[in-house]
Amino acid sequence: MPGLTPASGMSSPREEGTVVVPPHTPMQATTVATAMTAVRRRGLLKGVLRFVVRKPLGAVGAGMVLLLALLAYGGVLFTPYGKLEQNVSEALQAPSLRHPMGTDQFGRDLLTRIMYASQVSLLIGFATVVVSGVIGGILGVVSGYLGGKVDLFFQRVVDVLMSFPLLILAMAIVVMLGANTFNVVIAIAATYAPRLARVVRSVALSVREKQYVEAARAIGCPDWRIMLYHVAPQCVAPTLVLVTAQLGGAILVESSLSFLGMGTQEPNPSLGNMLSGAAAGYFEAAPWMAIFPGLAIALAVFGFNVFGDALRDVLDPRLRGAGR
Amino acid sequence: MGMGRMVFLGVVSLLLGLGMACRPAPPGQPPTPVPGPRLEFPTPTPFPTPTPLPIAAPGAAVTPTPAPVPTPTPPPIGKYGGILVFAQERDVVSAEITMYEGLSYLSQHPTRPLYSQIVMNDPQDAYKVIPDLAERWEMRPDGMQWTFYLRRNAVWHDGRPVTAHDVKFTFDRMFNPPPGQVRGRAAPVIDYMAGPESVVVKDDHTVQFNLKFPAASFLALMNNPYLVVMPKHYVEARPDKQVRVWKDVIGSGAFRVKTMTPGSLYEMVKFERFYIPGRPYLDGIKVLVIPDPATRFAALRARRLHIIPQGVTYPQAEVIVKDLPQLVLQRVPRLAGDTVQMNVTQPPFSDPRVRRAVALALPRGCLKDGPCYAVEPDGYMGGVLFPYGPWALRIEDLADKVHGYASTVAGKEREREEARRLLAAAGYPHGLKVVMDTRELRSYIDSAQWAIEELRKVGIEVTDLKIHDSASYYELTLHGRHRIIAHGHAFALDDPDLIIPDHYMCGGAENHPKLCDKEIDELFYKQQRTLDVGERIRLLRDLQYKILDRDAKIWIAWEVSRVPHWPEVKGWYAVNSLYMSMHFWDVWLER
Amino acid sequence: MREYLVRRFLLLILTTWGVSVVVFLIMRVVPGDPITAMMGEGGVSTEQIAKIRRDLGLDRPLYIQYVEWLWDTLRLDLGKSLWKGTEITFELKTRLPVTLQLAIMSMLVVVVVALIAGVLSALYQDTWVDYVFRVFTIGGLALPAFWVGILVILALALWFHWLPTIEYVPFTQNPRENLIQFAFPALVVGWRGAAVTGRMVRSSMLEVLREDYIRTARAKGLAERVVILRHALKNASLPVVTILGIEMTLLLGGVVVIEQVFSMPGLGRALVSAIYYRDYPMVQFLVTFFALVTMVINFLVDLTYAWLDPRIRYE
Repeated sequence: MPGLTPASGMSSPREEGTVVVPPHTPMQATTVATAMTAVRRRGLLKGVLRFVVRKPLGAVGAGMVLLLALLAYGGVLFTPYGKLEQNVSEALQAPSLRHPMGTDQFGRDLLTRIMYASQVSLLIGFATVVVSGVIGGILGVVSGYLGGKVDLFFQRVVDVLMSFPLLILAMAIVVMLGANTFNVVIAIAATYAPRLARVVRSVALSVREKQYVEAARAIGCPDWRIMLYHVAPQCVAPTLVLVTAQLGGAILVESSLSFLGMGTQEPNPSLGNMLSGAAAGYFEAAPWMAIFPGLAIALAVFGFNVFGDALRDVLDPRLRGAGR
Repeated sequence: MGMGRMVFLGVVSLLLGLGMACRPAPPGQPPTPVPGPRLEFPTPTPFPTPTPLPIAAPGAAVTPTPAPVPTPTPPPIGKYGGILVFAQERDVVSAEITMYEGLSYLSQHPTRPLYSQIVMNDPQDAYKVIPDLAERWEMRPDGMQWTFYLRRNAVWHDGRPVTAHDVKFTFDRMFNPPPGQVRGRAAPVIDYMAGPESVVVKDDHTVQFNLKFPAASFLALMNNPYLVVMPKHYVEARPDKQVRVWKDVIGSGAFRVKTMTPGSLYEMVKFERFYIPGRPYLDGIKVLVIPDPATRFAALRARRLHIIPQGVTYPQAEVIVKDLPQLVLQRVPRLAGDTVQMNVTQPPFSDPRVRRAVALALPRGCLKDGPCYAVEPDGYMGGVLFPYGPWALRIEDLADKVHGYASTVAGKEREREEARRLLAAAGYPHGLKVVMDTRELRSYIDSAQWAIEELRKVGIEVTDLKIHDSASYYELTLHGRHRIIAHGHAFALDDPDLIIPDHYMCGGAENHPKLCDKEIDELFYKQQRTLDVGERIRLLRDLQYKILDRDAKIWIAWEVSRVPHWPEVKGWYAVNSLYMSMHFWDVWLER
Repeated sequence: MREYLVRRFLLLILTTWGVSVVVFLIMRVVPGDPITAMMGEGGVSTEQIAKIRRDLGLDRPLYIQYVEWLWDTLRLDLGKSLWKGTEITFELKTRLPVTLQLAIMSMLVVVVVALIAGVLSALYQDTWVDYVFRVFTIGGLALPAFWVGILVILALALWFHWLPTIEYVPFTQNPRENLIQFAFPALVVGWRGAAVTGRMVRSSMLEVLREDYIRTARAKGLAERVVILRHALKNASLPVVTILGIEMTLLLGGVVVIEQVFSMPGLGRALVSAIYYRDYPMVQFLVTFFALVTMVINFLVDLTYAWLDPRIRYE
C-alpha cells in the first residue's frame, strides 16, 4: 500500500492504524486530501449541490438530520407545553390533536419531551465527535510526529484504553464522574479518541517523511509550528471521515448508557432514559411511550449514518467504482 | 477560507441551539379536575384492637401467669404437590436477614421460607401473634420478664434439634454482630434489654427474656418477619461466623435449599421433617430473577410465574382488572409510602414557617373532587403511623382537620394560599429556590418529579433535582448535607416502637430531617412503658399530633399492595407488611 | 513470525496489567464505596460503618490492597463478591457459560448472515435481493438493540402469550429449550454486527468481482460456484476479517445491554450491578477479564490477517 509503509519491523495493520475505519478498505490520506482541496477551490455552495445530485441518499440523510435539528431547536419555540410540565389529569393519553405523540404517566406531552431529548442527543453526538476529534487528533499528531519515547508511551496508553470494550469504559467513566449529560460526552469521547489517535498517528508518520517537512526542520522551524501548520492539516480529512462515521454510533452509545441509568438524569429527558423503566412498565397502557423515542433514535442514527456514508464516498474517490 | 467559514457557522449554530435549550418553560395550565381513583379502593379489614396485656394488681404475687395464646385461624385443608414460582428483580443481597444487609425484600423473600421465627403472625391477620418455634409463652405480671416454651419436635435441615441455645445465639449475635455486619430490622426488640445476659436459657426448650422496663410492644416486636432463629452449631463452625450466601443456609423452615444460580434462580424443596405435621403442601418453591418489570409481568401472563409477591404497578393492576379477569388481584393497604423530608437543621427549612408551607402545598393521597397522587393513584392519606392500624390517627382524624390534609380541590387551594402567605412572612415573598436530592429508584424519582410540580404552585422552585446512587445518597443524608429529599419508606410491622424511634427521634437512623425534640422523645418513652391500652392510644395520638406539627417528614401517600396471582394459588394472603407472608407452609396449588 | 508472536504476547501481558491498575484506581476514585452502597437504605451510624470497613480491610493503604489483590489473583484465588458474599469463582462458573454462549451464537449470526446476505446482494446487485439487504442493514445500524429487545419481549408476551423459559436452562440439560432461549437475544445482538459486516462483504466482493482474474477464471470456464468461493471470496475476506474483529469486540458491549433486557444471568449483567454497588472485587475481576478477552480477540484477528495476506507477514 503506497504511502503507508509500516514504520519498522513486523507490526499489525491495526497498530499502524490503517484499517480501523469501518466499513471501508484502508483509505489513502493523500487522495482524500486532494478531494478536499478540490472542494475548497470550487466553492462551498457548488460542492453541496454536486453532493445532492450525485448522492441523493446522502442528501436525504443530511436532510433528515437537519429536519431533526429544526424540530429539536425550532419546534420548542412553538410547543405550548414546557419540558417538565405535568398535567396528571391527562396522563397516559393516546396520540391526539392536542398531544400528537400522546402523554406519559405524569401527563407530560411526549412530543415536547422528544424535542428536548433530541436536543440532548444531537448535542451529545456533535460534542462527542468534536471532543474526540480534537483529543484524538492532538494525541495522534504529537505521538506520530515526535516519535521515540513519547510515541511509545502514548501507544501503550492507547492500547490500554482500546482494550476496554467501548460501553464498559464509558460506564466506568460516567460512574466515576457522576451521571449527567456533560460527563457522558467526556465518557464517549474518551472511548472514541484512542481509535482516532491511531489513524491520525499513521498519517502523521507518513507526513513526517515528506521532503517539505524535512526542509522545514532544516531551516530551524520549531516542532510545534511544523505540527500545527504542516502535519495537522493533512490529518483533518481522515479525522473528518472517521468522525462522521462515529456520529450515529455516539448517539446509540448515549442511549444505551441512559437506558442503563448512567446518562442524562431525570426529569430531564433524553431519548435513552425515556425508554428505560417507565416506558416498558406502561407498555400495555401506553405503547406510544416506548415506540416514539425509539423511532426518534433510529431516525437520527439512520440520518447520520447515511449522510456519513455519502460524505465518505465523496471524499474517498477510491471507492466510487465499488458502488453502493 | 471555506473551512473557516464552516467552522464559524457551526459554532454559531451550536451557540444558538444551546441558547434555545436554556429558555425558561412557558407557564403551565391548571389541571382539569377529574374524579378520584380509577381502581376501587380496597376495603381494609376492620381496625384491629390491640391485645391488652394482663396487668397485675399492686402487691400481687410475682409468679408468671400464662398469657392467652390465640389459636390461628383454622387453615383450610389444602392439596399436596406442585412447585410455586415467583420472581423478583435482583439477586438476594444477603441471606442474613437478622442483620442489616438482609434488609431488602430481595433478600427477605427468598430467605424467609428457609427459616422459622419464634412467634409469627397469623397468615390472615398481621396483628395476631401465633406460635411458630415457640408453642406457648408467659409474661410475668410486672411485664419485665417473658418466658417462651419451644416445640420439642423442631429440627434443623441437617437433622439436629432446635433448642433454646439457638435462640440465645440468635439474640447474642444481634447484640454483637459478626465481622462485617451490623444490626438490622430484627433488632428493635433488643432495645428493651440490657445486653446478651438478658436472654437466659432455662433448659433445652425454655428461653427467658428479662427487660429493662415493662415494654408494651414486646410481643409485637418479637413477631418480626426478619427475626428468624439461626442454628448455633452451624453458624459458629463457619469461618466468618455468618451465612450470607443463600445456598449455604441451614434453617428450620418448611423448605430447604436445593440449588442457586446467581442472577437467575433460587430453588427450594419441601423439608420432610418440618415441625407442623402435614405441612408444607408444596413440593418446592422457585424464585426467578427478572430485572425488567415488563418482562416480569409478561412472565406472569404467560403463566411462567404463579405470583408476584412484591406487587405490580398501578397501570399493570389496571390492565389486570380490565384484560385479565382470570387473575386474582389482592389489594390491601400496605405498610409503605412516599414522603418528602426536609432537613430541619439547615436554612431555609430550619424555619418552621417554610416547612409548614411545604406541608400545606403537597396534596395527600387523592382529593375527593380532584386528581390523585400520580405515582400511586390508589394511595391514601396517612400520618406518622399506618392509618389502618390500631394506634394511628385515622383518615377521618386527618382529612380537613390537620394542616396539609385538605381533601377537596378548593380546600387545597386555600392551603396553597396560606402557604404563599407563610413564605412571604418568612422572608420569601417572591418564592424560594432550593435543590432537591433523591435516590436512583424509579418510584423515588417519580415522587420527586411530582413533588417538584406541586411545590412550584406555591412559588417554591426546585432548581435542580440531583439523583444519587445509593452510596452517594446515603453519604449525603447521613451527614445532613441535604435540604429537601423525596424518599420512600417500608416497615417490617406496624408498631410504634418500631416506627417512631428510627424515624422521628434524636439520632434515629432513618430520621433524615434530623429532628431532635425532647418533648417528642419523652412522650415516646412514656408510651413505650404504658401497658394500659387505652392510655397508650391516648399518648400515641398526642405524640402523632406533635410530630405532624413539626412538619419534618411529610407523608404524601401510603400505598396499596397490588399482588396478582393465578387462582390456583391458595392459602396466600397479602397483609399490611410486605415481608410477612413468605413462610409458605400453608400455601398450596389447586390443580 | 515467532518474534512477532512473542512480542505481541508480552504486549498482551503488559496491557492487561495496565488495565487492572487503571480499573483499581477508577473504582477507588468513584465516590461512595461498597459499604455506603450497602447502607443506602439509611440507618447505620458512622462507628458501625468504620467497623465494617475495618473488618473488610478497606481502610488499608491502596497499594497494599492492590498488591494483595494481584497476588491472590495470580494464585487463582479470586476472592468474594463484596456485595453478595459469593465466591467469584462460583459466579464465574455459573455466569460464564451464559455470556459465552450468547457471544458465540451472536457471532455465528453475524458471520453466517453477513456472508450469505453480503455475497448474494453483491451477486444480485440492484435487484430486490439487494434492496431487502439494504433495509436489513439500515435496521441493524440504526435501531438501538435494547429497544428491539424490549419490543420483541413485549410482542411475544402480548400477541403470542408466550415467553421462552425465564430461568437459564443449560444446553446439557435441555438443548431445545436452551437454543430457543438464546435464539432471540442472539439475533438481536447479532443484527448490528451482521449489518456492518454484511456491507463490508458486499462492497469487498463487488470490488473483487471487477478484477481481471475473476474475468479470466470465468473465461476459462470454471464453475461459477468455484469462482465465487475459491477466488472471489478468499480475496475479499481480508478487510472483512478486520471488520469482524472490531465487531466482535463491540459485541461484548451489546451483550452487556441485552443481558439486562432479556434477564440473562451472564457476566454482563453482573458487571452492571457490580459497578452500581461498587463491588470492588467483582468489578476488578470482570473488567480485567473483559479487557483480556478483547485483547485476545484482537490478537487472533491480527494472526488471521497475517495468515490471509502474505504481504503483511514478511514486511
